[in-house]
Amino acid sequence: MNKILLIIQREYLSRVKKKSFLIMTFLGPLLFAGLMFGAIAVTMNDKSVYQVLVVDPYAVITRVDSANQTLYPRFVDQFKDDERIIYSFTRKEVTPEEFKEGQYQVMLQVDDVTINDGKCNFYYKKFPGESVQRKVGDDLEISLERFRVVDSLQLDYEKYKRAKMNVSFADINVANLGEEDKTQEKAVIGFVFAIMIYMFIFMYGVQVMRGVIEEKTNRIVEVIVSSVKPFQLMMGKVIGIGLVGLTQFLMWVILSSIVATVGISFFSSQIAGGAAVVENAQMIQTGGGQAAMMAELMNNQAINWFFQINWTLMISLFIFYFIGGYFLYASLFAAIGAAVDSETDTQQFMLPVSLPLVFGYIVSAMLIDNPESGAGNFFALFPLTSPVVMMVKATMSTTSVTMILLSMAILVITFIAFIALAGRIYRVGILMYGKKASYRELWKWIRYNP
Amino acid sequence: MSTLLSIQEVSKRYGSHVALQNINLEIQTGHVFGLLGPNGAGKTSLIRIINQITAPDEGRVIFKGETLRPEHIAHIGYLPEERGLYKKMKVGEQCVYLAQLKGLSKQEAVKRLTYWFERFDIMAWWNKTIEDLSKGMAQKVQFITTILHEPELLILDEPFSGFDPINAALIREEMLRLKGLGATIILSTHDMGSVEELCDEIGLIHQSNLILSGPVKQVKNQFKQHLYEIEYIGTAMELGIALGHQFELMDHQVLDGFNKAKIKIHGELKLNDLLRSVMQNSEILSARELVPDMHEIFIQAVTQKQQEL
Repeated sequence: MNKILLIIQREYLSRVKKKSFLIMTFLGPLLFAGLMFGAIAVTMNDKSVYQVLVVDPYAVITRVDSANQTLYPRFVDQFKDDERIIYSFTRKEVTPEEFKEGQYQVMLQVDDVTINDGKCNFYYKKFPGESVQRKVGDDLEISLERFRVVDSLQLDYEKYKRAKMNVSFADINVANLGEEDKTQEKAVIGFVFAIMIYMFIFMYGVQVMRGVIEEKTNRIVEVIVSSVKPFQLMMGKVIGIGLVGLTQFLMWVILSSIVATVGISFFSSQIAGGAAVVENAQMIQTGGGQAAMMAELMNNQAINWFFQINWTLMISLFIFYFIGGYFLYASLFAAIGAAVDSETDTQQFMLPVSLPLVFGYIVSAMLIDNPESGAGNFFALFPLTSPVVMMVKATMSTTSVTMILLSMAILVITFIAFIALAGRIYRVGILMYGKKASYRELWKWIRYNP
Repeated sequence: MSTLLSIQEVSKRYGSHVALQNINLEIQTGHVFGLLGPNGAGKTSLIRIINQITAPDEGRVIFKGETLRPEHIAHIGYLPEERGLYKKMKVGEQCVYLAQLKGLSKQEAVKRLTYWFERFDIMAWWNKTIEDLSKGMAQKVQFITTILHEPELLILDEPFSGFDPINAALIREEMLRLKGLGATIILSTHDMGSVEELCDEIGLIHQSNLILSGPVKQVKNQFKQHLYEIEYIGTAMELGIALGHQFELMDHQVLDGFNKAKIKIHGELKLNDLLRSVMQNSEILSARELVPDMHEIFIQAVTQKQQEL
């Protein structure tokens, strides 16, 4: 058998047979899905009933029933009790201490600041969750609006309502006419991809480095390079470990789709029954928290964009950029491993190598708010950051096929150059012991005759 | 007799450091060649060139009449001084892997390994990891991986270090057996006892240069100082008279019932002439030539070279 294949085989098998690999492969997606669904489940399954006290000393949103002298909401349709919220009202001042001692779980204090600026203190003993807070907030907002329209402006609320308009954008990229673009939402998915690329490159790149250090400190490298060329050994290791990464990724895709299918069907049946989790889509878009975002994701209408993403393309791109980025960084990690005598000596080389990767990660995070930035375009082409950044841009469809192909070409050319360079450091480094490798030393190694 | 390996005008530099300078060596088929030299002399550099781990800057290496090329790897077995195996890999699996890298098929590797493991009585280790073995045990495993592909040329760097006397003897025995089967061995070691015992020829490298080489006997002759040791019954005075000016008494000891003298012969005279003179008034019990051992030759050659520089 070809020797490089033998090395790939050993590197691959010795790793996938490890317990830690199996645990990561099976537990990874479960853990990930568990965290996300867990967060939603907590908010959805929280069926506890909250007693909400609305304090209205200025009498703007409450009215007194003359018959029984009891306070009621002033505006019909607002502050109605439902299965999770029971409202009570008072016009007396209630101090936080009194609230703390009292029976209510939540207290809303409508003071002059609230009336003028809409800022309201929301006291709670235990945070009731997004949906309760949103319902209370909506009730207060509309009540205050009606108060201002009717009392201050002396207008008819029904007329006002007819005049009032909410503007909402349908994002349409002219390149994809006919379909509404959900760039923001896609960005989140793109970012998840970027995190995964970042994580995978780092995880497996470091494994390459560890493997090289192990062989070097073990001195087995001397035996092996008397049978194969150092370059073959390096490439065998890089490819073998890369395949481990791909295997793990594919297993995650398969397992995640299973978990997601089961999870989504379970939760959508829950949502269909409850119906009211997502009431105000705009509010969610402007930052309703992760759980709400996921809830929206599962909402039938909102889920459309989820299928707008070309998953086959994204997974193919992921595989390409993982391979490209991995080769690029793994070759550098292999060179670092060869240059040092122990893992503790890697620090000085690790920083400059990991910095661009971390930078790519930060740029990706910024792209979510600023998808078309020029810097984003640059880093999507720059080979040390493109694997991470381009994943976000591609998911958001804020780049063109030409750009993707160009970034791929640059990435391939660079990784070939890096592998060649790393190979030169590697073949000298693995046989060099006890010599503190400086950058100058490495440069010397690169120019040595083999 | 044929030459298996010929090293011709080989030089190697690392940056400004000269590792080997114009080395010429011939290693005969079926011989044990002792590659000697102080630490850092350039032995490892030469071994790495023969193993094609590195290439010489100048000169060439001829293996069985052909310029050394990658295909020859299958005919060379190398046991480096710093031993190493994958700690977490199973012994059997590891040996098969290393054998495959040397070009053996998996089946063949398993077959031969079974033979060797039984021979060394280590079959029980097959499924253990190297971590579980002692240092000496791991060394044994590594020795097997070195010879498994039945190389024509074996390069053994300090093969006895780390072994207890019993296992060292076992390895020595195996070396001689392999030699008997026609293998050529390059033995790099600081243990001059084993050089004397095992080597047919030696080469001594010092500060990147080959300063001494040739058959062990010839090298020893080269360093002979025409010193003889005689045990006799008689008196020192009588011996002194008998020696005259032709012979020089270097050392004299009175022992229990007899004396021991170290005598240097000058000029063209032989042991016979010495014996004839001493016999006149003393009774000779024994006489032998004092030949320097490899240890002395090593030190002498190296210090001589250092004084020259």
